[in-house]
Amino acid sequence: MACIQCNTCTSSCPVEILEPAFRIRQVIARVRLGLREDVLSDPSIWSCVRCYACVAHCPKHVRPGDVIEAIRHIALEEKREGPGPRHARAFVESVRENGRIHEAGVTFDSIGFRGLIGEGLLPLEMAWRGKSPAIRRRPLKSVREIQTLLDVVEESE
Amino acid sequence: MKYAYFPGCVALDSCKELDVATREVAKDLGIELVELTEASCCGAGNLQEKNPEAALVLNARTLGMAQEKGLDLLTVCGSCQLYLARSREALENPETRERVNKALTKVGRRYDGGVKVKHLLQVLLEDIGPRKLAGHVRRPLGDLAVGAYYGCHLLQAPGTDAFENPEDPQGIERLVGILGGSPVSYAGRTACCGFHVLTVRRDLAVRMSATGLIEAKRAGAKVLATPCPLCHLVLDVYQKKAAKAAGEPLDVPILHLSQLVGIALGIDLEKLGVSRHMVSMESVTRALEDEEVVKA
Amino acid sequence: MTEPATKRRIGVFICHCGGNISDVVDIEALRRSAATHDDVALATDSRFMCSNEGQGQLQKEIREKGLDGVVVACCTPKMYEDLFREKAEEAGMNPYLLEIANIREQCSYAHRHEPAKATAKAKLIVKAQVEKVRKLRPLEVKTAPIQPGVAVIGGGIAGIHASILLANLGHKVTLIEKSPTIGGNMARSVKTFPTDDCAMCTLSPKMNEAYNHRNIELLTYAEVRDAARSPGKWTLTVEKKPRYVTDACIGCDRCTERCPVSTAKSPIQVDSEWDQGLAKRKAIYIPFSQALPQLWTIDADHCFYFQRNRACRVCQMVCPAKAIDFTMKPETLTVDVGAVIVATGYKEYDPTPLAHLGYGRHPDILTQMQFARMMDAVGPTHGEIVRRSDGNPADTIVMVQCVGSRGAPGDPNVHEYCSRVCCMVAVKHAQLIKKARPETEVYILYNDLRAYGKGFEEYYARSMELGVKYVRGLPGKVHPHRGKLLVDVDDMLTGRRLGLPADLVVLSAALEPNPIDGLLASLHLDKTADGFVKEYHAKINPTETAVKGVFVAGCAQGPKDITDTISQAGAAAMSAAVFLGSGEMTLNPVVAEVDPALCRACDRCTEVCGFDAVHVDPERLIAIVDETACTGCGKCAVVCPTDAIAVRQFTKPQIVASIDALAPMAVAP
Repeated sequence: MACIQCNTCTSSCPVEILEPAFRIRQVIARVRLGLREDVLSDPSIWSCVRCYACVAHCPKHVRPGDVIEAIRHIALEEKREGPGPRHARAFVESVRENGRIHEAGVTFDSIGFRGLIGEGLLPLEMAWRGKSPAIRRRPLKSVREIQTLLDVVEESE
Repeated sequence: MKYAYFPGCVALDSCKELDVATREVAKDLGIELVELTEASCCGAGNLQEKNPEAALVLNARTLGMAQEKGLDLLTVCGSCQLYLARSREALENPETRERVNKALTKVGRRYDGGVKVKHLLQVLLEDIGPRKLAGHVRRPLGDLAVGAYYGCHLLQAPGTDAFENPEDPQGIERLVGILGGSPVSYAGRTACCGFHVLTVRRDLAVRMSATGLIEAKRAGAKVLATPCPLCHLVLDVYQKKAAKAAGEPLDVPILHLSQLVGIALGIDLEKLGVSRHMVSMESVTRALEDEEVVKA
Repeated sequence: MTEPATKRRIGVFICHCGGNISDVVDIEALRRSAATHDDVALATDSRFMCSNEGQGQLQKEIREKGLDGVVVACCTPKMYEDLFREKAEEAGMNPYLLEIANIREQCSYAHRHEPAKATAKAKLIVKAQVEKVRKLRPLEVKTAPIQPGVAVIGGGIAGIHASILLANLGHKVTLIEKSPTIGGNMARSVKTFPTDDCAMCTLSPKMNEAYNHRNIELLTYAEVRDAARSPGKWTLTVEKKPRYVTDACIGCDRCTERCPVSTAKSPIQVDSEWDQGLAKRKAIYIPFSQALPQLWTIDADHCFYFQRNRACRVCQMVCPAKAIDFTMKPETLTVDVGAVIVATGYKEYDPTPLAHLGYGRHPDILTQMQFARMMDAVGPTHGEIVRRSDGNPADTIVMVQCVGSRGAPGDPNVHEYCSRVCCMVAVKHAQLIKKARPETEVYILYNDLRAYGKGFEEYYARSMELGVKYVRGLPGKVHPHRGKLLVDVDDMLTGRRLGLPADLVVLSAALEPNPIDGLLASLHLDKTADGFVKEYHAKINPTETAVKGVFVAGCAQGPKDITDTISQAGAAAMSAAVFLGSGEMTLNPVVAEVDPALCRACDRCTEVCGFDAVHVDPERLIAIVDETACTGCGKCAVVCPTDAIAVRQFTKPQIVASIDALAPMAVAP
């Protein structure tokens, strides 16, 4: 990897301002040293917001944002647990079941009852405004195609 | 002008008003929208993480649907634009296409490359063009101070650097000008809203959007226009929480780009679905009532 | 290329190399095998052929046995081929009848664990070289006259220093400089690190020495348009641009005062190259007050007289010395020299493509070379360090390192190399600021701080004592915010994310080679991947090039500071002096040769030659090789349809003989 640890990535990161524990430069350094468990078990890798500012600015074209994506992929392959993996799995399940995602379903599967309670009165306020996402699923007519493709691709991996 | 319309998931669900407003605006401007009703989710980064090849295949399927109709793709969401455009770039490689088509044939689909993926902002500024657009403006936005909230994904999408410098974009400001309005510039207009960690780390998204909203307010923006429904969700639905995190009231109404255009085209605000927004549009409605409708 | 018909007397000398060869290869078996070959009169061995003993043995056998061909089976020819040939010559044999059989690097070293196979291979290698030697002819070493005189292209410190040394040695030097004055980039550096000497104070004496030296002819406002090579000589075509100002000029400056260009309402505006765009200049100007020659110049591209149909003659009207002459024409001269030194220097990278740093979108974002002008007491701000946006003093200055350097390979917008000097330039400017105005906050945002030279680390340490603040981390964004420039950077040292409100942001931009592709093409020079002139060998020979008689010095070869530039310029001058030496060059006979009987003047060889070393004589209609230029690369031999041209010692029969020995061809059915 060409990374010279210049820190342009971290300096471009909007998350790091709010959460100093997430330093993308440091994650790259830990990956390079092969600190596998250290990185894969770190919950802060799920804090990246995918803004790709680091990818746009890195002078060595390391594409740190894509590295985070790859780390998360491995974490999901290894069936790691946590709010991050839970959300990713819920999202993909929704795509499989519906073709397009069912917002309400994904939200509930990601944060559960506890999470919903944590939202306070917001869901009710949304319902009042008519802003709530649909409760009922509306899978695409051709959702079977999507399922077939997801299966086909998993097989060939 | 005809496009294969890809509304994405949120524009048909919690941000339904975006789809409604887009159709109204398209009708007025003479853009025919052929909705790809069976197209799948673009992946939004989550599918790309779980199964990158599957995301590519599903997006190829979507692009193939547009190709079948002989049309380019129109998006109204920053993330859809980014992920579809990325898949599109990858699929320009013939070997990649061959591999993907092997999977697609199993469901009777294929994609042969070449379909363009454009966001509504691009279509308005380039394909329709300022002159034609200005000609349709019946209710110039006037003194209403409109700030832009670009959202990071639209700016990072491949192919959009032709019309937007990600460090200093001007598209929405130009659009506001064409619509007879007063654009307001402020530091946070290219900032990220944090939507993609909204479920996992709501606290981060709330604080990120709070920063942008405070800067917008301080710069004098009376309303923000955003080309992405995901940003809209954070900035609008979670604004109360953002105000709490910021320790000061915000009250900045958020408009979808289509709604902004629709207002200037003279379309009734109710028809544009603004009543669904969590942050009241009252200040905007009042400001606009002071402006006369210039052309019927 | 005819085969010698007489029976030869070839000696084979096998070296044990103290075990390096003999531990693997069975020397006795090899010796016996060598003795069986045709024309081998003697096969012997020695513990160390390169020792006095071994060399003595070689000479003794040559004399006593009357050997007329030698194969030394030992280490790589790069080690001792020259030595053995010299010894053979002393003993009375033509040195070019000696070949090395490499049975060490290409045999015993490579096959340490397979002695039997190694021995078999060594036998073949020796046989191959014996077969080659059987086909070799003696070669004569000739000399050719070299044109006296050196052309130095580029009048910066490298060119000036090299010129002075050569001139002192008695050589006639033609120093050619593109701009109206010599001095180059050093002249506008204000101070030099780590001594903080005034740049012009150290440079000026050298400039004057070069200007006044009776052996140096200075051509300024002149460019090399073409370079043609003939045996022992380079003929440069130099175009001197007209200054429109004669020698009568007394330097009173009245013309510049009155020139209307670049005044407030003037439709013609010109940025000053000297002041790096921070100020304007007139159409008639002198680049800086100590410029040499002390002549004013009219820039015709921006002068009302030339651009608006003779509309203005103010300079001519006010000139007390009647030195303005609008009728001057460009002059073309030819300069014949034996050696050329390329010292064309560097320019600064333009950081505009790095959009997140905002260069070009705000007047208070500058490069280091621009900032240097601000530090000059006679510069555009009279030495005041101010915000260009409103003229207020700059209270906080943030410098960013590695701008345009250390990028990704293949990135068209950023260079991959490190520009070497920018760390020290930043430290220099930072501590000068602190000394001039201690209350200024100065930050240097760096990735690695490279303080490698003599006195550099101490200089850096002093800068910290002066209060320069070092942040380890490069910024994500520079953008205007409430009248300042906000620099968003995460500091790896403190672990804190900083938003620095800067009055000035100074970018340490990369050093780039000046654009000299036309010159390189006419001199047959290559570039290394980084775009700088390709030296002969980066480690062992950085001042010569692959082209005989052409040398390179200074930043044209790669980024470096003034100390290293002067060292390299001295080395280049020395190399050039050695080359010009006695006025004669010794020609390597292992170069291309044409058999007139076979040559059809088809021009294929002249097309592929990269050294301008072969031309078709229009009268005799055969190709002639310029042995002073030929490097023996062999490209011509490859394309010749009749095998008329070949490199001596590597003719087809000679090479085929070796190949046949190594791998005898089965006869096709």
